[in-house]
Amino acid sequence: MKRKVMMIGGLLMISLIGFSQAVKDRQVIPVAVNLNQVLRMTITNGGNIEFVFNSIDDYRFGLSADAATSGSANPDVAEAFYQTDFTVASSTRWSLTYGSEEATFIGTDNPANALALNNVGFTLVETGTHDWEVAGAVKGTTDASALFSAPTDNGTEVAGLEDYPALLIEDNDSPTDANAGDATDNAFSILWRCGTTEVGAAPVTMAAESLLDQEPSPTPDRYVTNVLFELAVDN
Amino acid sequence: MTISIFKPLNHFVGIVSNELIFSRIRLIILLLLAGVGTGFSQEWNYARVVLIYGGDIPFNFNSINRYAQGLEIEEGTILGVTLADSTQLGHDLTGFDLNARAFNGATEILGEANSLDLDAIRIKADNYLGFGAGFISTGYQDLSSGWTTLCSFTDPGPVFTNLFWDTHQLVISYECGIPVSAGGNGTLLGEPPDYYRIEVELELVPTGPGF
Repeated sequence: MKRKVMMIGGLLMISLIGFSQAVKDRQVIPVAVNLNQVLRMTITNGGNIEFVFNSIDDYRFGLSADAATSGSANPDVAEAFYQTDFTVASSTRWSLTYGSEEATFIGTDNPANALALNNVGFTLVETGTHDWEVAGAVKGTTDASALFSAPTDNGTEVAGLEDYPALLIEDNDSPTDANAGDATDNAFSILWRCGTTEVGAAPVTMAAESLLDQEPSPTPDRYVTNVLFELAVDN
Repeated sequence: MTISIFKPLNHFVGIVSNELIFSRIRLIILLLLAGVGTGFSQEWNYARVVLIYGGDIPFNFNSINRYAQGLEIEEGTILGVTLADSTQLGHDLTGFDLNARAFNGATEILGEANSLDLDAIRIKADNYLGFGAGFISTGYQDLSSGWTTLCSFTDPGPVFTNLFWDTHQLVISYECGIPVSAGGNGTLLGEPPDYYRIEVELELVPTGPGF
C-alpha cells in the first residue's frame, strides 16, 4: 500500500514537471486588400481630324499623317495635323473597341451623299513601354509582349476604317505581362490618312483606288462621321 | 462494569491512533512532494504581446499610381512586449524572436471570387520603443504560410532585464503590390478587382539556452 502511494506521488510530481515550458504569445491582425477597377482613356491630341482636298495632287495621292510612307500630297510639316494621340490607364487587362458611328461618311451639304469608310485608313503606333506581339503571330506567342492588334497586324499594317464595333487593341494573353498599366505604359498614336490607296496585308484595307480614280467619282461635299472608342476590361 | 466496557475501546482507539499518525505522515510527504512538483512546474518565463495600435490594416488601391507603385503602410501596428524570466535552472532567457505567418495555414489571399499570392504582402518589424543594442530587424519579409522571423532581440547584458509592454514596443510595417524594381514582388496591375482578405499571425518566441 505504501509503495503504491509513493508511486502515485512520484507520477504526480513527474506530471507536474512535464507541464513547465517556455511561454509564447500570439496576436492575429486582419489585413485587407481592396482592388478598385481603374479604367481610363484620354485623347491628348487630335480629337478632331479633317482632311481638306483642294488640289488634283491631293485627290491623286491623298493626305496622310505619315507622308513619307504614304507618298501623300501633303508636306511632312502637316503630319501632326492628321494624328490622334491617346493613352490608356487600366488596373486590369483591357481592350479597345473602335469604329465609325455610321456605315459610311455622310455628306453635310447633302446627307444623301456618301463616301466609303475605307477611303480613310490609319496605322497604330505604340509610344509607351508596352510592346506589340510580333507581326503575323497569333495572340499570346510572345510572353514579353502585352499588346495585340488584329486590324493593324500589331502596328505594322495600314488598316481601313471600319464601322463600330471593331476590336482595335486587346491584351496579348501573356501569362507574365499584362497590358494593364498607366499612361506611360499604354501610349498610342493613330496616324490617319485619306485617299492614299495603301493596300497591305491588313484584314480590312484601304480602298485601292484614289478619290480621283473611283467610279463613280465622289460628289464634292464635307463628309463626316464620328469614330467611337470604347475601353473595356479584357477578361 | 463501566471500566471493563471502556478498556477495549481505549485499546482500540490506541491502535487507530497509530494508523492515523502513519497516514498523516504519508499525506504530509505526498503534499511536500506535490509542492516540490509544483515548484518545478513553474513556467520558464512569462511572455505577452499586446496590440496597442493598428489591429486592422487596409490597403486601398484606387488609382493607377497606387497600382503602379504599390502601397506601404509604415508603422501600421504597434505591439507591446512583456517578457520576464522565471530564473528556472537550465532555462536562461536572453531575448525573443518575433515571427509571422498567414493565419490558420492560409495559402493565398482570398477575395470574393479571386485570390492573390501571399507574397503580394510583405511585413517588417522595427524597434518602436525601448529596444536598443541587441535588436535586429530582418527587414521586409514575404508573407507565407510558414513562420518567418521578422526581428530578434538578445539582451546584451549578462543578466536578462525583464521587458514591459509600456516601455518596450515594436512597430510593424506592411507593403502590398510593390514593383520588383523597388524590391517588392511585383505590382497588382492586371489583378482582378475584388476585396481580398488575410489574417497575419504574429508570434513572440522566447530565446536563450534551454529554450
